[in-house]
Amino acid sequence: MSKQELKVALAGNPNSGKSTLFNALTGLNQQVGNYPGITVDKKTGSCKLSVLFKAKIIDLPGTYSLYPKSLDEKVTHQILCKNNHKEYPDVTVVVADSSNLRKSLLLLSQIIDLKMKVILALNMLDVSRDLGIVIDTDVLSDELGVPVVSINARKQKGIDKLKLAILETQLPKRNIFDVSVLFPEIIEEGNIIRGTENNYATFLSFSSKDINNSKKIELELKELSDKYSFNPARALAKETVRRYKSIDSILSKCIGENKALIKRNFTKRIDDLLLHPVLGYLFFLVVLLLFFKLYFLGHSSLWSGLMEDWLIFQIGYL
Amino acid sequence: MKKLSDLNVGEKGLLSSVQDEILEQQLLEMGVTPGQLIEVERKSPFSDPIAIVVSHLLLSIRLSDANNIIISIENE
Repeated sequence: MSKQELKVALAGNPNSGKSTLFNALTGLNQQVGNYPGITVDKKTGSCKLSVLFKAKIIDLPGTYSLYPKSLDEKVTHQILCKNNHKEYPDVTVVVADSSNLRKSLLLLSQIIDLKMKVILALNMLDVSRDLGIVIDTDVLSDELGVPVVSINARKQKGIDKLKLAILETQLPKRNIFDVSVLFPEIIEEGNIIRGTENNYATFLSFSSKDINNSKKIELELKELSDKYSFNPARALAKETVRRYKSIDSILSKCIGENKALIKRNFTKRIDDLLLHPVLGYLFFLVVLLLFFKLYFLGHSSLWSGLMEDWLIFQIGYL
Repeated sequence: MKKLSDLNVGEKGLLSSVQDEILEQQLLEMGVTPGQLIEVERKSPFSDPIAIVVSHLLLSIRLSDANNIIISIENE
C-alpha cells in the first residue's frame, strides 16, 4: 500500500446510486442511468478523504447478496470475499436505496458477518420520504453495530460526513445472524480445517471457490460437506430466510410509517393509461403518426434538413 | 392455494412457496420471503410478464416463473 491510501469499495443493490456516489467522491464522470445493470465491471478512482489520507474508491457492480449468480456479481463476490485479492477493501460502503432498505440490509448483514469494516450509506431518502417511510438512523446504527450516514449522492449532500465515517470506522460490534445456529457441526469442523473463527466465511467456502482457501483446505471441506451430505443451495436458501428474520426484527425497531407524508403516485396513473392493453397501442400509434407528420411538415428544405440531422445524430448516439 | 399466474390484477395473497430452486434463491435475496404480501399490479397482454408489488418493491415476473410461485389467498 502506498502512503496512507485506504481501499474503499462501494457495494449495494443494483440501481441504489453507487456510481453516482462514486462520481461524487472521485469527481470522475462515470456513466450512470436510472435503470439497473449499468456497472458490469468494477471501476476505480481516487478521492481525498482528508489532508493526510487518500482513498482508492472501487465501484462494484450491483448485487443482492454475496453469493454470485451472474458474472458481474462474481466480480463483487471475489473482491469482498477473497481477503488476499489485491483490491480487497479496507472499508466497504454499502449504498442503500432507503425506499427499499430491507433488501439492502441482506448484503450489508453478510458483510458485517464476514467481520469486515463497513458503513451503511442511506441514499434516496427523499424517495422514501415520499412513500411515507420514516427511518431512525441512530437506532438503526445501534442495532446494526456499524455507522449509518445519510447521503444524497445526486445532490452531493452528506459526502463529507461519509468521508469522516470512512476514516473513523471500526470493525462491526456484533453478528447480525450467526450461521452456526443453523449448521453447528459442519461450521465448527470447517472452522478447524480453515483455522479461523469466521463462521460466515467458512459457510461461504462450501459453495464458493473464490475464498482464500488452499487446495488442501478445499479438498478437506469437500470431504466434510460429503460427510454431512450438505447441500449448499438448500443451505443458502435456509440461511437467507433466517437472515431476513434477523433483519426484520432490527427494522421493526427503527422504521415507521407516516401516512401524512405520502405523495400520490402520479407515474402510476400515467402508466395506467399508457400501459393499457388497448389504449396503450393507440397512444403508441399516435406518437408514431405524430413523428411521421412532423418529418414531412411543410416542404421547406430547411426543416427536413434539420430533421435529418437530428435523426442521424440520434442513430449515431446509439 | 393458487399459482401467481392465476391471480387477477389487484388480487393479493401471501407467498407460500416457490417450486424452482434458482428462482427461489433469486426472490429470497430480493427480500421476497415466505409469508410476504404480494399484489398483482398489472399484467401484459398474454400475462407475460406480470408486474407484482412486494412491500414497495415492483417486480416483473415471467409467466413461466409465475407458474412456479404458489400464493395462499387470505380470506377476508
